[in-house]
Amino acid sequence: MRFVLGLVISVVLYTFSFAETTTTELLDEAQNSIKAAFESGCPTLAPYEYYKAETYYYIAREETSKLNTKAGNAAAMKAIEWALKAMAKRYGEE
Amino acid sequence: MRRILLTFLTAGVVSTGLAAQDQQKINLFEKQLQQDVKMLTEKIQKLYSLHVKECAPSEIAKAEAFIDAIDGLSYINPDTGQIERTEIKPIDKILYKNKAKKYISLAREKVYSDQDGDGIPCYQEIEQGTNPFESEKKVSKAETKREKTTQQKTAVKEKKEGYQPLKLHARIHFDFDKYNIKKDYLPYLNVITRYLKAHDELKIKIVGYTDSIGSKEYNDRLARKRAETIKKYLIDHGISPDRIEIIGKGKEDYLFDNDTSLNRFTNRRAEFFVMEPTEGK
Repeated sequence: MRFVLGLVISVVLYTFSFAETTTTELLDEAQNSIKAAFESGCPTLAPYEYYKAETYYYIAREETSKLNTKAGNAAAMKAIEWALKAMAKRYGEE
Repeated sequence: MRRILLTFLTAGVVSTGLAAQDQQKINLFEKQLQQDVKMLTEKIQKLYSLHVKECAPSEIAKAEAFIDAIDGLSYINPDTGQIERTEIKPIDKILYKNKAKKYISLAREKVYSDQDGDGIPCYQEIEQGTNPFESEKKVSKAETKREKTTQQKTAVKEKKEGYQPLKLHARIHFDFDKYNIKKDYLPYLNVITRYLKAHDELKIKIVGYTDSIGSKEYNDRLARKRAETIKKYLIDHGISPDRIEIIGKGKEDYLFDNDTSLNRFTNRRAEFFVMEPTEGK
């Protein structure tokens, strides 16, 4: 019985761990995007876009630390979006 | 039994009253916040007309992001593919509002400040088409030094030509596909007029330029029209037409690449070269 219960719990946990994109994943991705933008020289070549991304990342961290993960996710997504915009501007795609 | 019922009833009425009061308080808070956000948005709009994106890009970007967060962030959930709207706590709204206020003030200060120490505020430099982060004085000093040495070397050659360009070099800019003089530049033209009136021996060369949009023939005509408009202005203000020479250069000699509207505006210009006669004449 214990074995079956353990199996069920582990299956449930396993399923849930792959079901959603977690806030941590989004925050990590946002941080990586901003880092890439920084290393490409976006703070000087596309400052508006870069600093917008940085501020959204700051908001994402703040909201996540206050357990408002939905707002954290939203801000992290925006941070990624603006970091990509900064890169696009820096490489003359805009 | 009656007492218990009465107590429950009183407690119910009191709690409902308190809840309603709380609701009213929250509504008042929301109202105040909305007003503040509206005011901040208006301030940002005003700053945009003063070229804040060029003068203080980081500050205005931060302010905009914080205001966006107060309004409530919406995003496409990567798992569901649906647009989700999120709300933040009132205390965070207050914090972000204050931060937005702070960055708007900083941006405003930068817009009105003279960042390169040449006495012209940033927004005016952008309008004039000069670099707000690099002093024109410093550039002109370096240029004059260089020019001096080249002039010394080619002094004999220049004497033969009859006129040599003076240091008084100015330019004005035009709107897209227009050749009328903008009000903002009239003071510059008046300075040149006064200078020419004070020095009868001097001549002036006006060169009109355009941006990269349109055909070469059309832009040549437009560039010449720009130079002609200025010539007409100077003639109207008492300068003899013999002393004015005009040239139109369409789609040539850009100051910047034509990628952005600001760069194109900078390229749509007319430049003045005041010439003085050399001894050789």
